[in-house]
Amino acid sequence: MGRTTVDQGRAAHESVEGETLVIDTLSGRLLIISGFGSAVWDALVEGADVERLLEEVGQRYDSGAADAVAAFVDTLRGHELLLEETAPSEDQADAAPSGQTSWPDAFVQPTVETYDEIADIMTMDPVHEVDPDLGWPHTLPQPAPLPPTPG
Amino acid sequence: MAAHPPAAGTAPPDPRLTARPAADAGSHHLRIAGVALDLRFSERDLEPMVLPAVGMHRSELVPGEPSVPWLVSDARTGDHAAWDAETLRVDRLPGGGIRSTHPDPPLVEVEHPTTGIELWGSTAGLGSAESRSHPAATALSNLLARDGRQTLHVGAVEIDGNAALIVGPPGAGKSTTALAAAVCGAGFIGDDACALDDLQHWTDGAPTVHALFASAKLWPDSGDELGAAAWTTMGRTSADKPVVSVDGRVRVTNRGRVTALVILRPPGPVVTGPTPIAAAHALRGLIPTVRSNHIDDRELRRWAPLAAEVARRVPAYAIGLGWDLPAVAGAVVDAIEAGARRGPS
Repeated sequence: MGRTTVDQGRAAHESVEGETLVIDTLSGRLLIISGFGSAVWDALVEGADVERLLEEVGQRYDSGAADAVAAFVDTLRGHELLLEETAPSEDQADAAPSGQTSWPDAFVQPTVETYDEIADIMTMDPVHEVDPDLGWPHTLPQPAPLPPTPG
Repeated sequence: MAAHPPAAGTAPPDPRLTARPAADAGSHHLRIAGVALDLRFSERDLEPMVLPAVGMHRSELVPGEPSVPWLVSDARTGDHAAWDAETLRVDRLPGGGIRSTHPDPPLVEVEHPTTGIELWGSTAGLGSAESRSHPAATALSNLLARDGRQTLHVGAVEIDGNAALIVGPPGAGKSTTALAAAVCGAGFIGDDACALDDLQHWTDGAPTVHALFASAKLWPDSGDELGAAAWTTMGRTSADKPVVSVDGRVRVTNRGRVTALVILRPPGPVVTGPTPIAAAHALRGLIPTVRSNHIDDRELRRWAPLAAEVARRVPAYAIGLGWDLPAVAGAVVDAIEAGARRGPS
């Protein structure tokens, strides 16, 4: 398995008081990540081998924690916020599974809350890009609407 | 739709915009969120459709200071392909401009670095409650964003230079809360559209919130409770919500240093708060307030770090609303003063 990273081109993210706020700038969906999820998110921002990350979580906490983290990562994949590298690059092959992440002492169930207020507005009133060569009213093709993601 | 392609590579607002300021319509020098504007009209009789909402921004002309032209014109003549649009439509123009087209009633806003702001439409469009209460809101929002200000869907009031952002979803009571405080003596900055400084413009660890429009949208029950039923009306929104002019009725102020976030809670039998709340909780309320008429990925990338820093630095309080409006006003003032005493984190 290769390295998994956050799609920085799509996700704008900030941490406040142990919670991580993620805005999918493509869809407008807001995600609030809390519990152990914030630590996992930080690891994914740096890039991590998820299989090795799950092993490390299982050893440090327990198998239930590893299952919860696996489900959490799947949720992020469902939101299309992660990029997968199918083969590890040379300089990453020997890297620690979770990069430089310092794990919290206690495991708290990772959670993801989603809010769609902005996404709904962006769907209803998309901004059209005007063709730079032809000018208004000629617009560039709109990207296809995003498929539903787990909420 | 008829096409009017401009020269390749240019970014004109619209080739149909040929109106010129009327000789007998005066020039109005405004300063909105620090930006100097020169507001002119193609017909003098259009002035009452715009000035009540922005007249409080009148400012002395500073010799030599460049100002952004803002032309308001009607569309009583000519063929306007813009009206062919079936729904509200926002186009981002090359070169950083924006164009908003509202078909029914017809109204167009254009903002571009090379031409400034143009607001034009039918008499019904320019006279609609939406336009009269927030004239050229999309264009102004784009202009201010270029100058480092983020337009938000929040209310704001001020006491002694300190301000509270009033945050809540549509229908939460932002207008009622802001006007309740203003009727009791606070400065009115806005009821649902204000501009916030970006991180580069903060002073002493806090942002400044700037007024945009001296208007308020109030349901009749709130208007009755506030005594606003007799105020000058600007019409009714498409949702049949009355819009009133507040200039001259309450003290309107142009800015305030944000010392408190007020997160509105659903109404109950009694007014509660201000109750301190966690920054992460405040952030959940703040994020969706990003101005809702031209959100795209670029705006969200600007907004995410700004919203997070506001939540980290500015103390946040919850207020549970009730019909005891003096108590609501008192809670807002208490939040502003408590936040000012505590200071930014």
